[in-house]
Amino acid sequence: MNQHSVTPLTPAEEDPVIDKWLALLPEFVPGPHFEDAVMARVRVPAPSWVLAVQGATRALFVGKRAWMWAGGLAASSAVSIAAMVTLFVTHWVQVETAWSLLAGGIMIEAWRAAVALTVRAVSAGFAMNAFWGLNYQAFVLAGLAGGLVTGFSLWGLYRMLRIDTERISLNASR
Amino acid sequence: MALSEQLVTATDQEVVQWAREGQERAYRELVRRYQRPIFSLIYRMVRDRERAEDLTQETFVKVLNALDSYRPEYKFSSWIFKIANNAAIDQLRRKELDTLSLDGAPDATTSDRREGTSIQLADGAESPLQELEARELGSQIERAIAQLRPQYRSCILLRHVEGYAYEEIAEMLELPLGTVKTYIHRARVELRTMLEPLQE
Repeated sequence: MNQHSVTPLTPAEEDPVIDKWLALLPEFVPGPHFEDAVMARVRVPAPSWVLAVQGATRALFVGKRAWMWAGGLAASSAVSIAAMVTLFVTHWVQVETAWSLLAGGIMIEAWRAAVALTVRAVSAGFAMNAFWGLNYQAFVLAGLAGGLVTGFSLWGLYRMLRIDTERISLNASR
Repeated sequence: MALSEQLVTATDQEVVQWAREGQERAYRELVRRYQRPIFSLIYRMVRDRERAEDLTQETFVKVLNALDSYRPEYKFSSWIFKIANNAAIDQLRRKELDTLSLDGAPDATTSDRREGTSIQLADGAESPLQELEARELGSQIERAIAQLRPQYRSCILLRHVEGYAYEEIAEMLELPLGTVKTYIHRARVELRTMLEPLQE
């Protein structure tokens, strides 16, 4: 019998025989994976704090507030851009100097990295040459051959792309 | 106190509140509390284990996915029993399974299907003879209940097996209070007539 709402029988209802029979009724049990099968189809909402954050965020962008936020973002962007332009116009010399220093620093670092890479590549090439026992002429010939192959490949690629571009232009004009 | 311990002693309303707050364990607690009584009611109504399990699952999915619409001033148990009973009555209207078969559903054509749809009585720790007698008696009572009209069956099960008050049954089944009383009275008279041979 359901333990949450058991209502006693009224005297008019009492019938020992019927009650005895009905008390014999067993409680049936669903299959062993019933609970998991139900839970697989139930949409459990996100925890309350997540919902609260979502609700508060959503509330910020409802009705007039949405326009206020949009206006605020647009105004702050406009102010930032205006400040940058003003800075460039009024303090051009300082900006240019700062940029040169910054760009100069970047260029120097890039140059150093390129030199280091090249030196390492050439050293590796010489090391391979020594390992295979090739002479200097063979190394130069291999380098020339590689350069020619690369050149031809680039030319072929250019031709193919140019033909496709022409076809696309032709189709587009039809 | 840990939530799992709180869940066991909490009222239905409290468990529903935790479920609404996104606690999966609260959902599971509601399933654990009601799976047996809901399944028993539906099983006795449709008398087909597979269908009863499907309908019980549908009932829980419907209820648990609509917890936001549940109003705490009403009993949770009344709400879920109402949905379960409606599901069973709808199923009976569709299929009209009028005859009880303790050996399986009337439309069972294979032995597996017969086994899957037969009513399985609880396994008590009794002697084989007592078990046989209890099983036979239980079968006759189940058979008698199954011969009642579906409306009588709902009323008698909710009143005498689940222990609900007339007013709650009237609310669950959306029937006038007088009608519920009449149905229960007639169901009892019919049961007594059908089970008279047991008294001899």
